[in-house]
Amino acid sequence: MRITINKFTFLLPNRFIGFVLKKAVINEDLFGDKTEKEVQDLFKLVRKELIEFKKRNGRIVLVDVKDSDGSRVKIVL
Amino acid sequence: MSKWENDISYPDITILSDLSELLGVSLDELLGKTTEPTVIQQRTEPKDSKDMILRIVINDSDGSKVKVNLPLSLIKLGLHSNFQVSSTGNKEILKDIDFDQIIKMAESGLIGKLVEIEDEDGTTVDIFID
Repeated sequence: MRITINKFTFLLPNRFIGFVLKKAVINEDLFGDKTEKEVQDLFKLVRKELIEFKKRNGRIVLVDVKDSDGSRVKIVL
Repeated sequence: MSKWENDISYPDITILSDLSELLGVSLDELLGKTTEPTVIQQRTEPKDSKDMILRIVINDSDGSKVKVNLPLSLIKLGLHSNFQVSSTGNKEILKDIDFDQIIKMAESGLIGKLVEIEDEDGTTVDIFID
């Protein structure tokens, strides 16, 4: 997984996908009354699904945010 | 016709189209360029839904742009787990979109731009299935 924040690019192992998505895409208040284990299990499934998708279809830009002030965040799997 | 067959003269070019239609052959075949009729096969097999991507493009009125590309299978997983798709930048614009319905549309073969919304403040949201 490649995360670009403005001019800086970070390469992260795919095992961090769930963590990154949790922070970047889905707000924690959406977890509702789910337990921490339920959330962790869900993100394990998310990671598995994304990795399988990448194997079948190749690289995918998950998120690309360009803010009005010029800042940019891009997450590429 | 016999003059043409014996290379004495050729038919008027303006009647070639009618002639090819009358004989049931293409113009190329009529002029001897091909011997076998060309068969064009166009295969349009629908993509497997697990390989489809849901693309959300948000152009905010303040100039910011958000693009999210997620596998459809992932959206299904989120819906199955009763998760909501996050609104971006505290916008409520995505909350009323029925993603379950969008997935059903995609699975029935509809692809391309499925949703186009413009908020009162000028924010636009486009949702595509590729």
